[in-house]
Amino acid sequence: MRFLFAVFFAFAAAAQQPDYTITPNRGPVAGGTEVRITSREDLGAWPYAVIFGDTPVPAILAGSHTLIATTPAHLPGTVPVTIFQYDFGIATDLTFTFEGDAEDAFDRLLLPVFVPPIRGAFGAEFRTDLRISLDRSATVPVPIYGVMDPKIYGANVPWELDEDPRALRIEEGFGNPGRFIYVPKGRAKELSMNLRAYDVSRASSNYGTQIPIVPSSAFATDGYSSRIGIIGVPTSPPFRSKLRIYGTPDWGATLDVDIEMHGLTEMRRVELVPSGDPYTPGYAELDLPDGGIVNVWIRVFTPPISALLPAPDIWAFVSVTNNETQHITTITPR
Amino acid sequence: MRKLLLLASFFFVLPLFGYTVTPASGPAAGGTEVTIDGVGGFWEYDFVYFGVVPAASTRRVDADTIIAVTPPHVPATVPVLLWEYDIFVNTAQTFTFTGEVPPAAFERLLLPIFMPPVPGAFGSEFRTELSGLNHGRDWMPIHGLKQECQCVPMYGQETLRLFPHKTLDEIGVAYEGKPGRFLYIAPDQAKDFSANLRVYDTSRAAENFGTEIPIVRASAFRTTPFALLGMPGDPRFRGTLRLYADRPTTVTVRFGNTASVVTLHGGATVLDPAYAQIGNVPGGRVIVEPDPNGAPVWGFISVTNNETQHITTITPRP
Repeated sequence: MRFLFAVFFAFAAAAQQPDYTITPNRGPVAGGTEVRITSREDLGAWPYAVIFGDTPVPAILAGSHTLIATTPAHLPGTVPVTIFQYDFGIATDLTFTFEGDAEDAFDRLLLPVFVPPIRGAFGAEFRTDLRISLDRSATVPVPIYGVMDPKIYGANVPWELDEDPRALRIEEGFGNPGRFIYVPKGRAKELSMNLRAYDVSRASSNYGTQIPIVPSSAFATDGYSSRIGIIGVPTSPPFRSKLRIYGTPDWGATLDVDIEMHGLTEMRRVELVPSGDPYTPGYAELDLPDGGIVNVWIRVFTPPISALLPAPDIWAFVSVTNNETQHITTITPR
Repeated sequence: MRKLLLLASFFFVLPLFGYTVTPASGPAAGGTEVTIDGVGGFWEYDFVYFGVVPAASTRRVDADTIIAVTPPHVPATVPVLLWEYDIFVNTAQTFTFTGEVPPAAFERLLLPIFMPPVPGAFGSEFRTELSGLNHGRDWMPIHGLKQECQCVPMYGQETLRLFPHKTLDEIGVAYEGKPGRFLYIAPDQAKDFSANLRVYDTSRAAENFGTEIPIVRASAFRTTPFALLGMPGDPRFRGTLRLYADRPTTVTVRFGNTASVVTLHGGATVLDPAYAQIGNVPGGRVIVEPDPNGAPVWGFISVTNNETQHITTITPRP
C-alpha cells in the first residue's frame, strides 16, 4: 500500500510540474523586458528564438534549462509564448501580457478604406489594394500589426529591389471600412506604402483612386474643440458624396456636421461609434444632401458632462462617386 | 467691372502729397524699423501695410512721421500703403524684402500642380482648381497666390489677402505654376486655412469629378530615399514621375535595376519649386534617392489612362 501511495504521489508531483515557466510574465508594450524561460527538459545547444505572439526575438542559453530573451515592442494584450528551436516551434502553454497604451510604443496609421470586394452599381466591383515596401534603410524587419488580423508583415521577407511589392487584399471585413495598423515608433519612415481603391470592371480604363494613409498626427486632437473643414464638395447629380469620419477606438462622440451651401448652413448630427478594438477605428458616415457645391465642418458636440468624458481624436474625408461611371474622387482636409 | 473700379477707388487713393520711406529694403525675416515721412500728415490711427501684409507695429511719432516695423514677408518688392480708417493711401514708395524666407515665420505648402488650362488628347482640357477658405477671424495674407483681377495696382503682387470666412472662389486666383507652386502662410493662421486641390478634365466633367492632388507640407520633403509603389505595367497607362525641391538639386531614380541621376532645375523665386519630370515610367516600384547633402525632395507619379485620360496619383506614404 505504501508503495502504491509513493508511486501515486510521484506521478502527481510530476503531473503538477510544468514543462516550462516564464518570469516575469508581463511587461510594458515598449518591450525591453528580460524574461527567463526554464524548461524541464535539457535544451541542448541548438540556436533558439522566442516568439511572443507572432513576433520573434533571439534568445540565449543560460545553462542547459534556461533561455533568456528580451521582449519586443508589442500591442497590449496577452499572447502565447513559443520557443523556436533551430527550425521548428515548440508550444509552451506560456503567455506574456503586454501592458500599457499602444501609442506609447507604436505609431498608428489609418487605412480609411480597406475592405473585401464590394459589389456596386452597373456591374462594378470595388477592391482595395495595399502595398508595403521595406526601404533600403531598414536593417531589421519591421513588424506591422493589423494588416491581416494582427500579424507580422514583412518580418522575414526583404523585397528584391526590382520587384513591386505584391498587393495585399482582404477577403473578410473588419466591421467598418477603416483599419488601424501599428508600426513600432519611429520605424514608419522605413516603409513605403500605397493604398488604392478601384473598380475591377473598369480596370482597363481607370487605375482607380489613391486613398490616403493617415498618421495619427493628421487627426484633430483638440478634444471637444476639434474641428475639421472639407471644402468644395459636389453633392448634386451626377455625383453623390459620402462623408466618412474616423475616431480613435476607445471613445465615442456625438458629432455636429455643418453643411454650408448657398450661404446657408444645415446641421446634421451623427454618432461616432467606438469599437473598443485597437485595430478598428470609431466610425460614422453621412450621405451629404443634394445642394450643389458645399463646405462641410465637423465639430465634436460637447455634452454637459464633458469634463468626465474624453473626446476621441477624429479625421474625416469625403468620397465623391459619379452615379454612372462609379469613378471616385477623394476630398480630404488639408 | 465699373462698379469694381469705383469700389476699389473708394478704398485706394493715390497720393496727393509726397512720402519718403527709409530704409527702402530689409530682411525677409522682418523687424526692420521703417520711417515714413509725409508732408500731408498722418492721422493718429494710421496703420502701415507692406503690400497686403500689415506692419508688425505702427507708431505715430508726430504729425509728419510714422515708424513701422516690417513683418516677415517672402522676398519681394511691395508698395508701402497707409490704412486710414477706411481707405488705403498709396505712398507711391516701395519696400524690398531681401534674403531667404525665414523658415519659422511661415508654413510652406506645395501645390504640385497649379497650372493654367492645358489641352490634352482626345479633346481633353485639364484644369486645376484650388478651393480654399479662411475660417479665422483675421485677414489672411497668402504668399504665392495672385488675384486674377488686376483691378487695383496692389493686387498685381504675388500675395493675396483672403478675408475671414471668404473662399478663393469668390476672389478668383491666377494659376501660374510651373507646374507647381509654393505658398507661404503665417503659422498661427495656417490652421485657419482649409483647402483642396484637384485636377479635372473639363471635357469629361459629367463623368468624373477629377483627381485630388495632395497639398504638401514642408515636413513631407525628404533627404532620405522613398519608394512609389504600384505603377502599372499595363501599356494602356502612362506614368509621369514629378519631383520637387525648394532649390536646384539632384536625385537618383531607380526603376528596377536601372538608375538615373536627375537634376531638378528652376526655383528662381521662392514661389517656384525646382522641378524635374520623367515620362514613360515603367511598371513596378520606383525609388527616389535624394542627395543627402542637397535639398529635401518630394515627388509623386501621375498615372494617366491613354484613352480616357483618367488620372490616378501615386504618392509617398506614410
